[in-house]
Amino acid sequence: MSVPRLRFERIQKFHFHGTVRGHVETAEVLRDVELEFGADEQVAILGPAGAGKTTLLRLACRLEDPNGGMIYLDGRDLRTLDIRELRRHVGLVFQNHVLFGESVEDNVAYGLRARGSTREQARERAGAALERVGLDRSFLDRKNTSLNASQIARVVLGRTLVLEPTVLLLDEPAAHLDAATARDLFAVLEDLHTPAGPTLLCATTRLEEARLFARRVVLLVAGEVVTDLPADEFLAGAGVDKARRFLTASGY
Amino acid sequence: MIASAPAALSITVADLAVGGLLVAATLVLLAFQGLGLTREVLWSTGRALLQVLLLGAVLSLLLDLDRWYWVVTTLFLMTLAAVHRGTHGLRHSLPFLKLIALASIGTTVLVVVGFVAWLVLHIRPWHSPLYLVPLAGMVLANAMNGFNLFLCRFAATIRQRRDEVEIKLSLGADVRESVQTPLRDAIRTAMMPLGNLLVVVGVIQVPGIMTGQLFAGASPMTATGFAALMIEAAVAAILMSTILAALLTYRLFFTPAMQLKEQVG
Repeated sequence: MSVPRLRFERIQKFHFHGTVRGHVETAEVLRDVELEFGADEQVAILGPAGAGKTTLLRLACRLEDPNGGMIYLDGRDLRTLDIRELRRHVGLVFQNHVLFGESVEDNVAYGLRARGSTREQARERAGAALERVGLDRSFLDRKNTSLNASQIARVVLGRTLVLEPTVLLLDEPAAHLDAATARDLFAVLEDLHTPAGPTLLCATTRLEEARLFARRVVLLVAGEVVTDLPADEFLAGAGVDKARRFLTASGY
Repeated sequence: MIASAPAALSITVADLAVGGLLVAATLVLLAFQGLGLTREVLWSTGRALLQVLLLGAVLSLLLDLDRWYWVVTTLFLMTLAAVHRGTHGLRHSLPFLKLIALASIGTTVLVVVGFVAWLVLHIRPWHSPLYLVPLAGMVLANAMNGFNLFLCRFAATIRQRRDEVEIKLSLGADVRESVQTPLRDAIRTAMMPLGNLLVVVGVIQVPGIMTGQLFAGASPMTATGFAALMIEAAVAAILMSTILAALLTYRLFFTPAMQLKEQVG
């Protein structure tokens, strides 16, 4: 039996909310989460706001650590891996499409430059990454301020893809996009799904996005996995009703 | 015609009381505005006057005692007060912050006071409280401001730019690279009061030491020399404490696994 690319084993996570009269206030974000993802999977983590989706993704690239349980990448405990090497293999696209520096090159070449690539090497690979997300190489010289929402979303995706991660985590990538732009973005993601491509995990609050994108849907509510089904089964059967109930109750 | 030698001014308790009338008059004006600030201003002015009187008494006592260890103890207590004040204003505490502030502010005061008092002014005896206490006070005030402004601004920028810092970490930056922008921003902020001061000094503002010396009967050129030396000391104090603060504190915001802590600064 092959080793899963990414495995969450009995994950528990609390967030610290401060102290009231010396008493530590925490909130449980994830409770006994058990999940496995194979090398060629394309999965939607569906759930309302506050379900723990973002935290789950952040745990996978060790921006946070769980309070209980273990996470494995290709069978190796995350905590035994060099942190910068781990973050090259597990890339996260944040929900807020923040661009830094001045130009697109400052963003897309950032991860390569941080790892010691020369400017020429980084520029060459950044150009190739932009082409993968449907932007011309000439975008490298564009100022951040000259981009529209769709282009920003692609630059943000290219910035992570340039490192050729084996797991690509997307935190509500279309949260700030209109419906048409979101469809374009999911088409780009669909093209990334090749046998050699990364495992794709996409957190979303929208059933429509799960329909557009996923081969498998994990419904996460209040820190617990409620259902975990192939997308066809989920969308055709009881999964949809269940998801609608939770998402509607949360105002989605 | 030859100008007469400058005469020293003297000041009595009665003169101070008359000076206090000016404060009282402005406080009455403030009270009529109904802003609720009168008590705060009255309290802080009163406290400052009391502290200055206490300083005079402590200096007299130190002169009478004439023992180096009492001077060193006084300077150490002043440094502790600067550390206490220099670390306030953060929403969340940071580990070892007081120790780091002590290292940063303490090193600054030791280096700058040592340099100015012993290598430039050659004070005798080496522990003379008349020179060491006021010089250390000026250096400590600047070092404390530099440390505090840097720290508060850095923490606030990290909070505001949390996403940017974490994105950079997730792309493989190390901690130092991920906080490049907040560091630059906070160092610039810590330097800002000094920058403003350096622009207006000699044009709008007459340095305190120069004012004091002129009032006490020193010639303008002598007063200018000391004022220039104190400006050099102030610049060195702010620069050194800010740079030490930057070098020693930014890692406190992160875990050893290069994770930005959940609640920072």
